[in-house]
Amino acid sequence: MSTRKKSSASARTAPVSTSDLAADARNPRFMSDVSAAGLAASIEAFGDLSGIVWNKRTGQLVCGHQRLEQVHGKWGPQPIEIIDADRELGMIRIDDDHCFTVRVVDWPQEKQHAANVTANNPKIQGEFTGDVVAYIRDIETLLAGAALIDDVLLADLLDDFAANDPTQLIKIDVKPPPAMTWVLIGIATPRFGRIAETIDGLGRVPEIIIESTLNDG
Amino acid sequence: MVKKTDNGHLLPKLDLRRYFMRKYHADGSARVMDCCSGSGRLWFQLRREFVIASYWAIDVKPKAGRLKVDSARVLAQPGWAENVIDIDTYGSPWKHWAAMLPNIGIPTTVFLTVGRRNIAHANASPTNIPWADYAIVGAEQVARAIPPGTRHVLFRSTLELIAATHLSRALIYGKVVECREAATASLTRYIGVRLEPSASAAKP
Repeated sequence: MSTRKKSSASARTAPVSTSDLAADARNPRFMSDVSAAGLAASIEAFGDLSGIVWNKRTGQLVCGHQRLEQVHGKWGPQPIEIIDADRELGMIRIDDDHCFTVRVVDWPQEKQHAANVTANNPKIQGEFTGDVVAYIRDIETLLAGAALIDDVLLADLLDDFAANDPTQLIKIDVKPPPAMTWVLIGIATPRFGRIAETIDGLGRVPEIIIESTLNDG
Repeated sequence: MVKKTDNGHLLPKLDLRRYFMRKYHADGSARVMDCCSGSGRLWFQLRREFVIASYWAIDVKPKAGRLKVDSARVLAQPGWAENVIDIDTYGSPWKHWAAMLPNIGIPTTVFLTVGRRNIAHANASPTNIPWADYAIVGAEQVARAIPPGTRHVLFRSTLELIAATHLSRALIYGKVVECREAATASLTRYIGVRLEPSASAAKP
């Protein structure tokens, strides 16, 4: 078995246009025409409701209740940094990996409530396609190593897809596996290409396990 | 669209148990020890479907109607008389499995859930496999030698070897009549084993 993982090393420059924001061709999500029309109507009526949105007229959150609760639970109350005073856009910046936008609106309470339920309406959200199983499978060792597979409930998601199929019971032949001799080989990355085929061939030999990765950690 | 329900976890577990219960315990003689009973939902369902002789729920968390104790310690003691042992852990079942094997005195059906969570502990490697489990397949030194950021490459292949090694320990104490795994898309493995102890094995 040979599994080679390559880091996405090339850092891309910051986008200057939405046309720079390429879609993930394997994005395992589907949105029906009806849902898409609902989402378009929501954007038209309320703008972006995906982050933390606060209504200054009522002093209440429009959406982001659960997100903010988790932020408070983990890091406590945080200052809000003003990003765009004219558009009343702020950011909770905890560190480089943990930034949360805060949008301020000035709406009557009825509109606030309408936006709240709209933001959380599953009828205008996409849904996973069956491709999500392969999508997660491709990254599962990385996720499992980081304990993410369970923590963000991706294992549960896989189970949900499994639940639609009748359970097959596969026979396991219980026998002692061979005693293994483990060899750790480091290869300078520029030289790896020359011998990759040899290593792949070795990996096809029964009872030989080959796992390889770039040392990006 | 696939609807998200709790049955995602439940169905493969139930189907596996149904298969073994029909095949080996259809006569109503099953004496069940439910080692990590949790909410008890699994056997609540199965007890509606099958006649069983007795049901003993154990969990480390207290709840009315079950014994609050570490079930691995119960299994490590000789003398229990159950013939269906359900080790539905959310993490690794191998501590229970190893404790149980020497004390099986009668043909017994065992259900194992091999998950990921709770495998981690103070002595665990960064991939959440305990170093002791790497050690039983002889991979501890190489695992420790791999830089932490790339250690996950050993995760999957080693996990399978670890499971195969643990399962094969049953052969020391008797015969594996049948072993089946519920095929799912999940990373969690659901395994059922029918064991027959050797003549010299412990008797309850």
